[in-house]
Amino acid sequence: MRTFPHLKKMNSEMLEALLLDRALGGLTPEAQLLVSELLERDPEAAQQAREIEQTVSMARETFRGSGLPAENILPMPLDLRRRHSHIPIWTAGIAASLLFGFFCGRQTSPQITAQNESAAREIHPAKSSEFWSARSYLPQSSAHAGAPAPQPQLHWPSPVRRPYWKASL
Amino acid sequence: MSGIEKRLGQLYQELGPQLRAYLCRRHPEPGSADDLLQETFLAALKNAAAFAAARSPKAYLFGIARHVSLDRLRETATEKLRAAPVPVPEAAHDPRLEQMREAISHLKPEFREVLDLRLQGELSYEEIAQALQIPIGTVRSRLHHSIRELRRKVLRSLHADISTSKENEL
Repeated sequence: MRTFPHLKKMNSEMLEALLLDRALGGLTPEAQLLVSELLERDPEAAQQAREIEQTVSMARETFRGSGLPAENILPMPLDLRRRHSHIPIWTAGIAASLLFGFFCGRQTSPQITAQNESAAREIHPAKSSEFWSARSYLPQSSAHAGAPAPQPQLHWPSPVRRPYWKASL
Repeated sequence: MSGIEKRLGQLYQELGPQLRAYLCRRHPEPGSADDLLQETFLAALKNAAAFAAARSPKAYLFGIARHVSLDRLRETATEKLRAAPVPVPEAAHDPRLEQMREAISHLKPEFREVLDLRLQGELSYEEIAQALQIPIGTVRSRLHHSIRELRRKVLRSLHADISTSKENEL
């Protein structure tokens, strides 16, 4: 077994620092060997080491069992959450808009009632005398087109008189 | 899926629980830790070059988680780390653990943080130094100070019990 004579003399502060590092897992394997050697030969230091290890162990236990939720239940990663949530939001939004429009349309569409029907029948088609009627439009358009010669018409007002030609107006 | 995304996916499975536990202790409000965990990995993805160059991905992610957490604390107008006692489950009624929980809650936040990262997060001294961007010597001294304090407060009564039981055995 290796011995470390230089460990025979060590001040209490240095020893405590080594024991703290040992308990916290901050020593290199070589340093751990050195400290183990020391503890085998020094019961007082061994007792101190046990106390420190006990403290660290209890602190670790307190941290780990500190009323936290189960550690294996992780939230879904962000990109997956987006993929799962955004597409249904789009489709749900469109569907909701269509449904809303459909119901609004149903609620506000004109209803055919007896009153409405009679009112509709009172609306007459345009009369032939109105400006846009074909009969009134054609003579005007022909006048604007300009220069058709007046056609003579045969007038025979009475059987007892002779007929005659007269230019129409 | 790029190499970075794949690597981050693996790390999410490996380190997600530890990171979430770390964030849960800093943000006990329901849902906060989950949001911050997502933000942590999103930030790592955005800074893919820095993530790829990090010596320890674990330390890098814990460092980001800490920054994200601090940002959230600032948003909620809480400048300092919470000094709230470490939550304890209903089932744990071990008086020693209760004493330890009380003692941990009285540690200064910066001391409690390194202890948390070492004991729960299982980060090495070097990784803690990277995550917190402090010298490794500071990590070591804070850890030592914390354990000394806890030992002094908690084990004082425990030693009395041990010595009593030894006397009874003899």
